[in-house]
Amino acid sequence: MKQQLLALMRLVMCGVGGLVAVGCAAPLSHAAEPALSILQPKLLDANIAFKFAARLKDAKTIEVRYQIANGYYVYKDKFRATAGASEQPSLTALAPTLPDGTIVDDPGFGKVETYRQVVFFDVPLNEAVKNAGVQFTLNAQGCADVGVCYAPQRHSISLSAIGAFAPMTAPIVSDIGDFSPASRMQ
Amino acid sequence: MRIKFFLLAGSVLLSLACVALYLDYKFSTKPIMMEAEGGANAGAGTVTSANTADVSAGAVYALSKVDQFGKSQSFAQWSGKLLVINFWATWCAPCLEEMPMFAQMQQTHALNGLQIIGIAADNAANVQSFSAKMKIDYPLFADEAGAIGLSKRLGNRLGLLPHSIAIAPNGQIIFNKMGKVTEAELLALVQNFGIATKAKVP
Repeated sequence: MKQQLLALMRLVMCGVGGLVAVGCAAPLSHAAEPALSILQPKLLDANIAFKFAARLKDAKTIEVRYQIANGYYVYKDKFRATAGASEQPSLTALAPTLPDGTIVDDPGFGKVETYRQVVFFDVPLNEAVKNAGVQFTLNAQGCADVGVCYAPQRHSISLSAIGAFAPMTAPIVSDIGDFSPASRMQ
Repeated sequence: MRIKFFLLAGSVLLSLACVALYLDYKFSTKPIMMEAEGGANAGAGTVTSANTADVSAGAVYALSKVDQFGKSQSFAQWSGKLLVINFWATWCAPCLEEMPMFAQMQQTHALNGLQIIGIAADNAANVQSFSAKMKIDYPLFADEAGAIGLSKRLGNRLGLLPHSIAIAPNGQIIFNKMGKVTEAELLALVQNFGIATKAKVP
């Protein structure tokens, strides 16, 4: 009788143990599964959607190359350039000479200028850069055609010698707008 | 003696199991809605998140922020409601497009337990100015430094805006979307998770 009681208890214990395991494991397993099983277009990381490069074109000019992936765009009026050098406290960036963008009637903002693909522009400096170089920062902000915007991007680079850009990468073809089942995340 | 030991251990494990199951129910972020295709949430042009939230509804309810009218609001007051949190910014055009609809839906469905709030990756002056200009009267909170971070922890890996989540009255995160929310999506949430005791959902 005692033997049977012990066996019964062991059975109950196993059941309870399993229950505990399930109960405890469940919250952890949620962290590993997708929040929602739905379609997801392949949106790019910001640093891939918006590629920044800059060079010292001459001692008083920084040239920017801003490459934008297909299906994405940036706002002209969101570009902000700053420059400085610890050994040249008076060095600053002047207003960028931005080319005309494409005027679009944005439902949120009205008529705004945007850039797509790639845009080059100069950022004049108020004085010639000395040997120690210059620290250059560009703020930019862009969105994807599919209807989402990226937080303002802040790109920084140290430039110490007049030189060329690194070779430009091929335009990025994103899968924005692709809602085919193949793009579903599991 | 052995029987007593097993009884004691069994009771402890049973208690643990109950606690674990209760916590699981209470704080689970397990999805319970949104089909992949053809559902109210898979409209053309939408972008939806399949990322994982690592913040529970409990952590959201623990927040407290000052709204556009200067009033301090504890998020705990909205537990038990259908809480829609919209992450936005005044520099985000798609965000601005959906907000009048949010305001309208809030007015229409407040009695169905719907509570919409906005958390802006923006400064207080911009939020107040936009709120006054566009007559957005549901609570808007300016959190320029923290909004994107919170949104990311709720599953928005790329930090895109707009981003909206909905928390059901039982504390489950039931909706998680990057991109504009449609009126149909919001209405479906109210119909499925609203509290239809005071007003009938059309």
